[in-house]
Amino acid sequence: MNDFKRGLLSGAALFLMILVILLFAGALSASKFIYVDF
Amino acid sequence: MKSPFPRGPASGSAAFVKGFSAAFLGLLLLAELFCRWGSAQGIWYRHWDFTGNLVGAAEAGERLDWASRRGPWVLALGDSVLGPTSLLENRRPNAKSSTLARELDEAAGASGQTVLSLGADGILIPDLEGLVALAGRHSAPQQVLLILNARMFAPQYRSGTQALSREFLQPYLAGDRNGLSLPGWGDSAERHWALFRVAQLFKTLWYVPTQKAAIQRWLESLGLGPADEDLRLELLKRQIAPFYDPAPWDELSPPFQALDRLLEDVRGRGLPVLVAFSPQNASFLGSDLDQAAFRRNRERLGGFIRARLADPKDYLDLAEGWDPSLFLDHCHLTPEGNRKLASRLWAALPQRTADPGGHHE
Repeated sequence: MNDFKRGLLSGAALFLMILVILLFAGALSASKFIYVDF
Repeated sequence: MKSPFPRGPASGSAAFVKGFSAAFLGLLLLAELFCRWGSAQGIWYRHWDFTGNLVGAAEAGERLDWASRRGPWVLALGDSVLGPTSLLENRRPNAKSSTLARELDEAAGASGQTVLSLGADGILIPDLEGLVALAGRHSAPQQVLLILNARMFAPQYRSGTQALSREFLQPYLAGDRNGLSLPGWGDSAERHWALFRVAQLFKTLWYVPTQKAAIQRWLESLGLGPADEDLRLELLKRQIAPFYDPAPWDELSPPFQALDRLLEDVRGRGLPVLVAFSPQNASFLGSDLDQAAFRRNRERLGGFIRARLADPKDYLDLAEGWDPSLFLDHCHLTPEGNRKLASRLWAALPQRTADPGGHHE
């Protein structure tokens, strides 16, 4: 595999990692009371 | 297996950097364009119900724009009474399709209208003020429905950082903002980055509040749910008892002042508005509730609101007269309760067309 393809794979992997973090990590930043004081 | 990464700085080539940049930036750009297009078309809103959640001002604005493109619409504002959280927490089947917001939208459909709910869990009156101001920067609804709850007037939510549930609404508030923090990086990302916004929105679909809750739900799915319903209800009672503090509600307090600005804002836009105090289940609280003091406080609130409405009939105190079997807890209704409340609210909505001159038909 040449360097360009390695770069493509690495870039796609980083993008997917960011997507997973955005979709699954952490609390809901905007909601102070969600599910607590409903 | 060979590593896809270059073996060291010496072997790192320009080709690798080009490939990396093309894939990463290309995918980022494609995702951003897709999210902007999807939000503008309302694709997410058509397929999923996000009532009960707000992730930011920009996303709420996209929902407002989408609602206005669908034809005549009503903006419903309130707290978790509108959404599915309590139904979900009480493990009611089809929770998301039996919310008050959904029932209102179905009632509206009969007359060719739609209801957009920006109701959200834990929301307070300054949040509602901010949402009305935010809505004012987008297309105007035909009517506004405002649902109030006892918690919004509770002493612990009257000042400081506790006075606003959603900090991203701060820029839309006209009142004193002392004690409130500045918007963080998340607000900035939400405003400018559509992928972030959409990801936050989707996260609400599978978000579980704590690790314990996640484990509990998993155990329940295996039929191993802990039988601690009595304990859960007792804890809830302890948590909500301060919402019904018998001390007189003060018209100079921040919630009343925010309500004053909110109603003035709505009136200034010539929008018909219906304000309702949500049904309450006195039997849930039992001796923890001073019913006479609660009634006096609601009467004071009713007088305050009616004095600011074009028609005093546009305020409804619906706190009393509901069968306890229609409640899940102190104020959240069962699916049947939501149907009844939606029917009552829809029948009471002014049903008039917005008029820039501020005159009603």
